[in-house]
Amino acid sequence: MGDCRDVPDGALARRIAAAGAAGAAAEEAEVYRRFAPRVRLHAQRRLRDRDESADHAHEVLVITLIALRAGTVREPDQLASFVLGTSRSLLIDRARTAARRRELLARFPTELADRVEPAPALDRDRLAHCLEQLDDRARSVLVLSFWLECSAEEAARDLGTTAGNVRVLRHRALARLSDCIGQEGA
Amino acid sequence: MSRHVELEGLIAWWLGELDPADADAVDEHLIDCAACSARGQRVAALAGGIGEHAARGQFAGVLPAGLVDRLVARGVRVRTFEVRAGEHVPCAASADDDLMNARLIGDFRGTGRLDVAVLGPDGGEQERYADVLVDRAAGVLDLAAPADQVRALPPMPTTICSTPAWSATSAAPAASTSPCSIPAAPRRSATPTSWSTAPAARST
Repeated sequence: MGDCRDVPDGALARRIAAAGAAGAAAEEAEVYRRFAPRVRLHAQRRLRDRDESADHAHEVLVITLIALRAGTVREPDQLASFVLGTSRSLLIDRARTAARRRELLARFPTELADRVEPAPALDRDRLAHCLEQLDDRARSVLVLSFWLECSAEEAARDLGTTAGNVRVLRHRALARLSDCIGQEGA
Repeated sequence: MSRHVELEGLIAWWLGELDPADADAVDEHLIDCAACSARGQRVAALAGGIGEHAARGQFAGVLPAGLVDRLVARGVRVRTFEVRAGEHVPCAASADDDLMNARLIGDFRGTGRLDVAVLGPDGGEQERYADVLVDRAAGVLDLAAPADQVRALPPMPTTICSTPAWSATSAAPAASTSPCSIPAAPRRSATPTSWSTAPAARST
């Protein structure tokens, strides 16, 4: 299987369309590898659930690959827009039945999903250590913002400060936490 | 949106603070930009990690007013002991607790910067929290510790003290000096104040 990492979106899309039902394995794998984490992020912001988001990303990419094979992606150079549109539609239409989903997902092998880099997972001990390095305000603003999902205004009331200051505090605190954990941690 | 999204923008996007048009623009950029998407995934991972950490009651230090109630509402099992200045309150963390909270009740008005220290049985300072968050209007200060850490301690008397920040002219008090006896200046009416939360009959 060739390495398609440097192939632009549009070229990948055209090659898959040209191969049709026979499939262009390397190109399809690259489309999947490239877009699945981005779709997962798109979904995770709304669903707040990593597993559900991963399932959603798989579904979006399966639909995309089917459309590419069928040559129905009208603007191959705008593949990202097609993927995003599909993701948005599916997020809006989450009332579909589980059976329908299973049937659709079974049409593509799950090995494709195995090639996608897993969602970043943090070393729990390292995270705990780095959170301890923050001062009480910074730690509190992170918990209020990212776990309790308080608005900046709500967090500001708890912290006795302004919403603007909360935005600055949380931005700095998250950057410090990220730096402390290091790139390997995510 | 063709420009990369800065961390501040990613945070606002993640927290749902952007108006729909701006959020859509960020979505469009992230689906097309590997670098920003990777940073967005980092924000998502950190947010998830903070949540998992917090859900286990892993807090040590002074919490802002209202946070304890929010934690309880999210299912964190908090054991709160109310302690008024000068009181001695037996306290312990049971096996079911995630977090132990000493709620210090006193008059903190007019204290300016407030420091809190935890003293061991010998009066030695074990922890110091500088410039802490305190709800001066309510006269409440929540000092928390993870219950698993508390359970690991032997029963012992613990004293919690607070003091205003000492001025440059009274910098002599060393960290090893009990803040309860710091000849700090200027002393104000309500501080330094000590609370005791001992002896703890540890339960499991």
